[in-house]
Amino acid sequence: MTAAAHLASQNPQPGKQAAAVPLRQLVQVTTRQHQAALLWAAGVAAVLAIALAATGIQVHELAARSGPNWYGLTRASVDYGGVLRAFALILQLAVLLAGMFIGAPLLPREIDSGTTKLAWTQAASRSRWLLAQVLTLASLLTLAALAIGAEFGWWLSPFPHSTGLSPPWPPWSPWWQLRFNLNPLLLAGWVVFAFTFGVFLGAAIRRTLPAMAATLVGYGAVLFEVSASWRMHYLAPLHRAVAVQFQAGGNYGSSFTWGSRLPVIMSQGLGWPDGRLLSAAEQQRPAAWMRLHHIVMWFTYQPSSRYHTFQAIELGWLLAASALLVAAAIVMVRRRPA
Amino acid sequence: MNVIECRGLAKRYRRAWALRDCGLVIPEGHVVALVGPNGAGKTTLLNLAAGLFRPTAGDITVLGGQQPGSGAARVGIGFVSQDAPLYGHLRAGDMLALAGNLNITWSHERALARLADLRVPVDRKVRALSGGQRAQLALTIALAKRPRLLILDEPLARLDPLARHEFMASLMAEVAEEGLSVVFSSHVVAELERIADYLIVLNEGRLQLAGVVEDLLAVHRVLTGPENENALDAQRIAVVHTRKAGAQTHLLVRNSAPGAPAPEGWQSDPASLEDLVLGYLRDPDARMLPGPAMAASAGGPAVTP
Repeated sequence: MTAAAHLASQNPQPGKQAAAVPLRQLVQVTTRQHQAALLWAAGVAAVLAIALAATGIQVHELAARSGPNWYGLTRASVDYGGVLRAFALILQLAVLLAGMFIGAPLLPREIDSGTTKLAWTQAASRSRWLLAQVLTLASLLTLAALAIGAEFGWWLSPFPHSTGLSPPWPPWSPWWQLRFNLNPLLLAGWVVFAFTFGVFLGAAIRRTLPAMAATLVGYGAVLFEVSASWRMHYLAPLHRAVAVQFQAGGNYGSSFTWGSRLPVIMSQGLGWPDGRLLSAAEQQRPAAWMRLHHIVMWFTYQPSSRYHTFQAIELGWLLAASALLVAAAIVMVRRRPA
Repeated sequence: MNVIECRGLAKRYRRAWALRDCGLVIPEGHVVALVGPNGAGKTTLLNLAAGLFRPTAGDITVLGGQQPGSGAARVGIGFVSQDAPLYGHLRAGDMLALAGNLNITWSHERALARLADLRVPVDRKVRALSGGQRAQLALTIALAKRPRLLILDEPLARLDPLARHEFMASLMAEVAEEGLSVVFSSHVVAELERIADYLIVLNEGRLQLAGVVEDLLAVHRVLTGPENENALDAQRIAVVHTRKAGAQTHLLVRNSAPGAPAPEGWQSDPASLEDLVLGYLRDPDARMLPGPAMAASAGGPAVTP
């Protein structure tokens, strides 16, 4: 649709509250204004999609030919575990780039070039203008993330569905730090967060390069903290005591299984039946003492069944944080001069 | 209705005051030239009227009592900022369509016709247009909103004389057709007479002169004579500015009784707008402001009421 379709009618009467510019129009403003950047982003996404498709077909063929342990049998050809790591890193980087190159410059670029003085003196209010820009770009990024995330899931599907035990995980573990957030929904959540984080820093700093640098550092720090530690504390871990057979000489063994779904074990140690762990000195006691006091092995762990809950929790706080960041950016844009 | 009204308006940037104690009432229906040297506060005043930032002190309303930057003010005012910022990477036609989508009142076809008349190529990127074409595109966008007030910050600054002439001619045609009010700033004084019928002189952040051009010219004259101007004091003539050129002395004076004969030994000529502007600018303490603004700003030493 062109602007010709909404031909002007009357000048507004003085004193009357002006009607708001329809959001649909402002979405068109955004797509028209960022056409070139969007084409670039689409190009990057397309290259990624093609690379995933090309290697994914090989992975699927190999798996079909060589059976369930295919990835261990390919010593002579390509190391697909390595390819998997590379793709995971590239996807993480792409999310960061969306924040740095689409989010962070959104406002500073306009302030630099003076075009805020054009955009903010038209009928559309600053808040609606910014909201439309953010919603439009975030929606397009979400679509791209969902598509790439789904394709990556397909790419991974021939790898073993190993669950977990403790880190370091193999790259095909769904708990692997660099893979956990690459499932389609969570990938979209992280892209939206990176983008809105960039928009927020752009509104706060108002200069393009510093805003991009701050996005790089800030987003990197958040991603690292979340992946390395926060994520495993979304819900309080469970504890489980396991009987231990103590033998003379300090050896002990245990015969139990976690079943088919291995949990993520956060820590383990010998302890009293009531849950207290042994001190360093007590751990040196002889087997007879251990047996006498019914010492057991305590596991602190997150059950595998919480995987999807954790995904949902992470998606939830990412979206809430994104909404807050956008709200803060709008407040700053309303309060501060053009 | 007054298109711009301010009382005690002041704006301070980090260190310096850009605008101080500005009391001003601009009635509708005029083409107002806001004149002053660089750094006089012209852009600050116009940006305040456009609602781009808030005053440090005092208040300003537009279009008969609207807050600058409010919805009604944004709809009713067409604003072209200094250097006419546009999205350079867009084609001119896309730039126009984008601006249309930012507005409610918008005549796209008329805007396209205007660009065609002015031979502005709509399929060319904005950054590839000439300075004159960019200025025309920015003005076309401001006019396509069908504003009641057009605010133009230094619209002529970057234009060559020919483009300047074309720009003003096309603007005047629109003004005549639409009956809208225009406030534009300029540090170029020449040729203003043909365009503006209302003059505001701003200097060092303070208002010096405001009024209908005709009225201002009627009460000012240029006296030329060989004598020392001190001799005029006895005759109670208000001297705005004295300029000595060789043996001659040129005085810009405000006469309280228009039509009175020139003092003996002096030749009296009507003042041109340029005489008026330069005379006041050269003496920053001189003031002549109508209405309550007059009382608000104490007159300079050279002007007696």
